[in-house]
Amino acid sequence: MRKWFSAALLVAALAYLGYGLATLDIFNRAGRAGPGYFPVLIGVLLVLTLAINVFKEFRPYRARAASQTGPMSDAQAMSNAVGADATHKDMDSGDGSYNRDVLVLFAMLFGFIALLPTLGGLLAMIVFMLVFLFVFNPGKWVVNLVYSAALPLGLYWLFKIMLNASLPRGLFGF
Amino acid sequence: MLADIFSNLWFGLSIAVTPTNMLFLLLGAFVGMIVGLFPGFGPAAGIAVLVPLTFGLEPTTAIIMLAGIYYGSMYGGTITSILINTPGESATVASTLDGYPLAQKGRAGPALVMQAIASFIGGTIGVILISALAPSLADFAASFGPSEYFMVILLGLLLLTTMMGANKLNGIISALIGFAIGTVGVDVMSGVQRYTFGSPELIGGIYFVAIAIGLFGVGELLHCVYVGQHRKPVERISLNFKSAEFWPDMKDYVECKFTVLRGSIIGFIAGVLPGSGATIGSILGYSVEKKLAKDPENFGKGEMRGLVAPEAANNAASAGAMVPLLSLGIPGSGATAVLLGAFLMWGLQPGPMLIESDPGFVWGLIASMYLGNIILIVMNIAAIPFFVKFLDIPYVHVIPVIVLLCVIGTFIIHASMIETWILLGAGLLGFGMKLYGFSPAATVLALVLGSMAEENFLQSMIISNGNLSIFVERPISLVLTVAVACIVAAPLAYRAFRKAVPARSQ
Repeated sequence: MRKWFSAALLVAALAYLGYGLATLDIFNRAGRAGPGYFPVLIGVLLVLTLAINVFKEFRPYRARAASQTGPMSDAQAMSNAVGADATHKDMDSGDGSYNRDVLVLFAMLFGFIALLPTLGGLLAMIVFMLVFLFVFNPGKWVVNLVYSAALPLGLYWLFKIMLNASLPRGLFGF
Repeated sequence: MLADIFSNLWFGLSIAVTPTNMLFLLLGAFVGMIVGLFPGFGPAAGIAVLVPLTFGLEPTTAIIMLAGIYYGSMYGGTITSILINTPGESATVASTLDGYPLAQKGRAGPALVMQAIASFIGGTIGVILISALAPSLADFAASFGPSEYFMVILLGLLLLTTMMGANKLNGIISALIGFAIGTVGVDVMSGVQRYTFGSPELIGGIYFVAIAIGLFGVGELLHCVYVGQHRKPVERISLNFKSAEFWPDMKDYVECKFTVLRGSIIGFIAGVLPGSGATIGSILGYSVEKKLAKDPENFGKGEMRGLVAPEAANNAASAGAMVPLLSLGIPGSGATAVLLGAFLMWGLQPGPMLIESDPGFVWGLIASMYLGNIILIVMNIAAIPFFVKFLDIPYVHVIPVIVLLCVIGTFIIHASMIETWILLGAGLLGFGMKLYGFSPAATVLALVLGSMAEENFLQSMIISNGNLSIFVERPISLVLTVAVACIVAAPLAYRAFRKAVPARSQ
């Protein structure tokens, strides 16, 4: 899946570069850098770096090279464990057996956001909570029902009443 | 100079010590502890989600609270590192190496107390050094022109992408993605719309909060589900806080007295380097302490110095990261990038002029960090039983809190459904980045700095009539250009050298 992720980013980068070249001027009439200068520069660099990445990912002997790493110091081991992301937290490497849970959660997130304009903030939150808890915390009816009401109501009170923030308004007016 | 520092701090205390500021400092520190405890919701996401909640506050109060979340999370993240071998925050990874073995030996209590003390000393030393360095660096940076600013931004991003992780190319790609996202909106130089696709909501650009919450909040959440965090049984922690065994021995204090000072200095220096941050600081602090020890074989087996060093370092580094943020306007990490975004949202322009134009804000913030450290050490030691109880909450119950805060928090910024959908897209991107070794921190950093980088780059080109030699003509930008070149060339040269040496030996 890693290589397809990189490939998808490459396609997006090509689209970004192509759209920029088609719609923006790289230089203005005075011959100076125009609105397209920076985006095209970024686009070119993105396409180049992602192309190198995709090439490396699709190379057949990448797996053999990965097994030939030598011993690492504590610092390098920790740095590699943390990864390129400075906010990396969980050091476990999943075996992918929770792919389905990720897809289900993502679908629920999608549905939650899609329902916001129709149901409004409060009802959409309650629906999301109910669906989420009955899928991922099955069998605990009372806890799920109470939690599905309490948390959305608490957040509604915090955002709408205390902070006077604009929550999505649905067909029911709230 | 010492008199200036004390006078500035006294002024800052007069700003920070108001009932409202103290209340929100306490709230920020408390929330920071909670944020640090839970995996999947780091300080960057915590700050990003709570930014919309600060709209009704004064800027100084808002930033004090958000900064409290930032350094509070360093304290909270260590609790899970020690008790359940799960770092709550990336800067507390090094604390697991000796923290968890200490808990396994039955010394969880002393470990928790020593980490609080080390964090306090590291944070306090860091804030003292900020007080000394920030004005001097701001004075130095006042002579910076567009070329210097562009090179500092580039240097910071390169350091972030090259110092962390095995795959530097992925880090560079991550930064370029952030720059690309930052080009959406109206070009400041020409007024032309870019990548708005005719949508009025995109004319103002893509707001960094939606991207930050998506990458750090939703992306991390999806990753935690991917590794099965929600399916793990809750580990009930039982600690006897009233027992004498809860407190460290005199031996612990004596052994660690120089460790905590060394860790603090190392951490602060690491934090000051743009792109370095608390994670690098804690790793360096641990490595140096182990190298200097007469008994390095004890590290990794429950050695108190192995916990104290990274703890002092990560708190000093989190203070150090505020130096480039306040004096140059260049954040050193994902969390400080989000803080910078909050500054800009409040109309504050961090940089050399900020200390001159708004000294009350700068010194009030620095003074609040002193007070925040005091509050946190008291909270850590006195309220450890309370915070440990949070670990009894099954992660499956934490997920909806994170989801609702992320989605609703994003919506309320501009009441925009487009930004809410962008949040979801950023969440998917963040999950993929986390899974495949990219750097969401570099993306957010580049997004926040992108417009500044472009503006300074184009101004440099205008000044030099399109000639790139401007980046080597001025002494400061020459030094920065050489530094950038070294960072890019050094790994390549090292790799070529490594290949050449075995070939010669054969």
